[in-house]
Amino acid sequence: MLEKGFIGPIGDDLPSLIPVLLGLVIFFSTFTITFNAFDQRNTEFKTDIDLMRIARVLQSNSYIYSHDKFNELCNEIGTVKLRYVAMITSDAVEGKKVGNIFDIEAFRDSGNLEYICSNTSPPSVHTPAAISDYITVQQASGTKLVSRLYPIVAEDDKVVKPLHLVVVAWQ
Amino acid sequence: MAIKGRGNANLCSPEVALHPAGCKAMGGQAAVTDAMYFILIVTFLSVFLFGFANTYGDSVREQISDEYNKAFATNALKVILYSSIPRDTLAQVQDGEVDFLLALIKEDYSDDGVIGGDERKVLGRAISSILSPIQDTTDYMFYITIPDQKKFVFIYLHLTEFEKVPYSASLKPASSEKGKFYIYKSVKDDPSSPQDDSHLDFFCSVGADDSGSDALLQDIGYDELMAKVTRLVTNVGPTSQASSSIKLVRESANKTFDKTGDFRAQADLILWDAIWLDKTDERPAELFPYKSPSAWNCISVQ
Repeated sequence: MLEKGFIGPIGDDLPSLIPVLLGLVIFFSTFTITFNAFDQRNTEFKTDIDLMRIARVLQSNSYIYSHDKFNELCNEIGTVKLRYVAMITSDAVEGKKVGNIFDIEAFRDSGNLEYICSNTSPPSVHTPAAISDYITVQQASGTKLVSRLYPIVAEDDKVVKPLHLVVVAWQ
Repeated sequence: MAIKGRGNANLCSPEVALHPAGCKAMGGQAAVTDAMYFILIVTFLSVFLFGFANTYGDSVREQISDEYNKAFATNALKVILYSSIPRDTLAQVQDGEVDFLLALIKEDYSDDGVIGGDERKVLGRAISSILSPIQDTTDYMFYITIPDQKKFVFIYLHLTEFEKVPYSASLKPASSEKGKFYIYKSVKDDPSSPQDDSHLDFFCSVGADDSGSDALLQDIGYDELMAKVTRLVTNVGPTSQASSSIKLVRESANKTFDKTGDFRAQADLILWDAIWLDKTDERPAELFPYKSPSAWNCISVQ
């Protein structure tokens, strides 16, 4: 015969199971949030580091002496998991007011050559090419986009011109 | 632990065993207490994990940012020293004869030991255009010195202009000048005027006879000005600096460039986030005298 008030081995400990379960829920929730935060930060760092690596290869010693040299440096980048576009621009030096990075246009040298390096093929490229040919504001709103800008000099028709290298990368 | 007694009458003390509720009630209470301890430990652990997750990667992010700022400063200095400019200081780069900017500076310095007004403007314009993408958020200083001779050859200073707005304790703009606290707002640029109202550019360490203005320039020695520059740089927060050794020459009396006319000079570029440099409650002496730049032998860039 059962004793009065005895529900069962589990039923008897029911009040103590509630905080135990609550504790487990708290622990695993925090663990999941933390793990996701680590994962997200690591992805961000990897993007930043990859972008800096691309920029470092393209900058070389900050002196680009020909279009061929730029293409040679572009081929040295190798495979990266990011999609990127890097271009040399004269917009800032010429005092052009640029609203955002998507409006930045490529520099054209005296031989009408543009200094662009990318691992994506844009559907269409305007003349002069702009960052928006490779990624638009709408496309960028749905992804994490990172950009960097570096002063650089490029030799064009024996004139060493101060310019800027813009690198934009996204997942 | 108390949990050992749960459901086991043998472990109950005789006093408890005689009680009508018996060991089972005590066992239930012990289980709840243990569960509370468990939840307490889990809460501490969760708070620790959450805190760690929030700060995870901050130092890496800082390092990446530092690395970029250093690379930017180094590149900018290289570009300033490598760039070509037209020999005619009023012409465009595409027109006429061009030369390296540094060659023009060397040539101008060699005859009289100072950089003339036109060359100063050319150098200032080149620096400004190279650093134009960051000029809205970053202040900077470029200078050339001859440390052996204790001489400043050239200083170009780009600063953001701020206004000090007093606020009351109720977070409303205070009517009087004395507020409970202050907000430093950068001055808005008027797009209709060609002049940049939000920034101030100066050439400093300009000789009194070379200023080309009516500014009352004081006689400041190298040590005093270097002390002021050092005080400014050490108080503006994190900076990105790049230095390069350059060579300047000076014509000797018989119009030849002999060994004695070579000077080891140094070009420095320092960048920092734009901040208020005037007096504050905690800082009774300003880092840079906006209102009387002549105290640094500075003249405004026209």
